[in-house]
Amino acid sequence: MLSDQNSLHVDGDCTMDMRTKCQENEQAVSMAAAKVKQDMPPAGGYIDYKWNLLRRGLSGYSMLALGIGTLLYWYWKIIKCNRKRRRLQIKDFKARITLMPLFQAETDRRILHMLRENLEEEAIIMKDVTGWKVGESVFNPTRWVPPLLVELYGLRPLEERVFANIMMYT
Amino acid sequence: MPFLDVQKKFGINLDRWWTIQSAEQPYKFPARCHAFEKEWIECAHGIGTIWAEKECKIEYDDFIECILRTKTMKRMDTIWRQREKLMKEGKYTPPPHHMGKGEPRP
Repeated sequence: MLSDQNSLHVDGDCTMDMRTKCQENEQAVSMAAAKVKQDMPPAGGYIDYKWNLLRRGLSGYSMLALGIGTLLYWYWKIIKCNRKRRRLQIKDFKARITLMPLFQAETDRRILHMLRENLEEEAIIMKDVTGWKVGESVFNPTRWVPPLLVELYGLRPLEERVFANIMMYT
Repeated sequence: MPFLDVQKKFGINLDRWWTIQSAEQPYKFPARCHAFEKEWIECAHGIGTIWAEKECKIEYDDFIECILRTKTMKRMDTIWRQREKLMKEGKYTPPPHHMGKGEPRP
């Protein structure tokens, strides 16, 4: 009899039958394991937690408004700060533009001086070579062609050339 | 397409900036051989390849020289070899500013 009641895998039975079988099973088990202390809900059920949460603090909408308002305010601050940065950057550019002719003139003088030295050296070196025109330009038109690094530093030690190569790109 | 200038009609510049060195560049940076290329194109435009090779040889040579600098390098090489030869024979010592001890200029 008890084995019949314990077997829950009976084919073709409806659930009602199974529930009554389970309840009978539980009663049998609880009466068998007499009075074990278990973690049960408090007497009278749980309190309604939803109302307890909302009693203090701001509402949802006002928190959203506060967050978005803060965002917008600080966005406006960032915009103003960036405009000020742009004005300072324009100041820096103006300073650079004003000083550019001086630097360009210095560089030009230096390049011309180096080319002149190279020309004189070339005249001394190629004195004995026949059919050599000192300072001959390789280009047909007599335009100013900016000299290569090799032309300027060709007769100088290697470190100067390397240094100039690096300085050209900084 | 040859007779339908689509890019000019729509005012867009999809690939004209990379066809030649002298095309319009951002920030107006000039190419290194801008002048030589301009001269060559102005000389050789619209007259066909065979005629351009005959007439614009000078400009073309200058342009190639500007890009490759073969003649410049050859010249520097000759001077350098002669200098080494003279230094080995002892007939020539480079002046101080060519040995790294020149006075520093600004």
